Amino acid sequence: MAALQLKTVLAGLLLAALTACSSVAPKYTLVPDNINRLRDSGMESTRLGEFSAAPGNPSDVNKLSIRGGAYLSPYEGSYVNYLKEALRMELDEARLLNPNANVELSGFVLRNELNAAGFSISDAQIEARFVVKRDGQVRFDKVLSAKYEWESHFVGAIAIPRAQQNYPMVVQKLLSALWADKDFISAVKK
Amino acid sequence: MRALTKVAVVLLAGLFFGCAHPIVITPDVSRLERNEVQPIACNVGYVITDADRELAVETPGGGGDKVKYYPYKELDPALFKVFSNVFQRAYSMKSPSDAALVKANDIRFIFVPRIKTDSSSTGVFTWPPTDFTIELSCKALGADGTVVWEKTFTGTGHAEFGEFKTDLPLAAKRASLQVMQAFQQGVNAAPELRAQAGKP
Repeated sequence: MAALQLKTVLAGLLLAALTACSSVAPKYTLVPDNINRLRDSGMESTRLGEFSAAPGNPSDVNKLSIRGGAYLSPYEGSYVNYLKEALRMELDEARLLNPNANVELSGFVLRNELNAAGFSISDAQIEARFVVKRDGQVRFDKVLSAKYEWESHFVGAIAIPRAQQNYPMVVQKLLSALWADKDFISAVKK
Repeated sequence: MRALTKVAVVLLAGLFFGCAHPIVITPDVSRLERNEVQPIACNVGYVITDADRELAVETPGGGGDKVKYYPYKELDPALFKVFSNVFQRAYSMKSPSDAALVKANDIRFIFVPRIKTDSSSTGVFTWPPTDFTIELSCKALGADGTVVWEKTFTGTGHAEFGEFKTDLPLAAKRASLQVMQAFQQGVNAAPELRAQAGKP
């Protein structure tokens, strides 16, 4: 009887150690190096067009979880909006956002994953197709991706907050890749 | 049975005692508004050394646990936003004596921030801090290395369990937003910086 009770307690503890309640991702934080790179790029003012999940994508890019607990986007529950807001924030900070611009940046989120089950390493991966149009003509159409890894832990009380706080880094990496892409810069240059 | 007991003890210890829980104290930088300042027409640098950037700090949370964070690395985006709002351009520097960077970017002032933090919690069963304090001392050096401006700002944040259950570092984020808003107002209102910005 005592062994059964202990096993029940253990199962409860394991569950508490490994799983989470639902949580909300931190809002995007701009990357200073990205802003200076944009301001030095000679890029023309740009407006943001449509962003959406890639049509026909079997995985729901707007749904993430961390050890069983839902991990929600702070932007109307949408990770597509998370990416769009990140782009808006960095372009605006670089004084390059103009709703009336001739250059338009739009895109599709192809993949958005957070793998926090690992006891030693966890990671987030994102992939998006970015399209630049100038006066309605496509000037850039490319798929870019980013992966970010961090040290994880067996105990959920440590691993879950780490995962919650590290997801934005993968979006920062994706934006860094976009702003550094030579074809992108050529397409948006004045 | 004895093995099960040992596992239970280890799990309990791991779950409830002595952990340093990672948090991120970066505030919502979109709330550091550009339209609340009168821009100063010059470029500035701000110094975060590699050692400061990697400095991990542990302060008390609830239930005997601690929280761990990187004050300089995590407040870098907010510092950049403040400087970028007030001045023409802002550049992160690893050392105040980087003459090449100063010359290449026509940097007029070099800001050197120092950050102190503390936290506490009224919670016994939850680890996130309910109260957080950040003290930001910052001096601005002119082109000749003399201190042209120096001031200290403090931000405090409080969050109850009902608020932080979906945003664990909420008290810290409130403190960091408050201190950065005060810092922005302080830099914007500094007559020493405006007076020297336009000097040849």
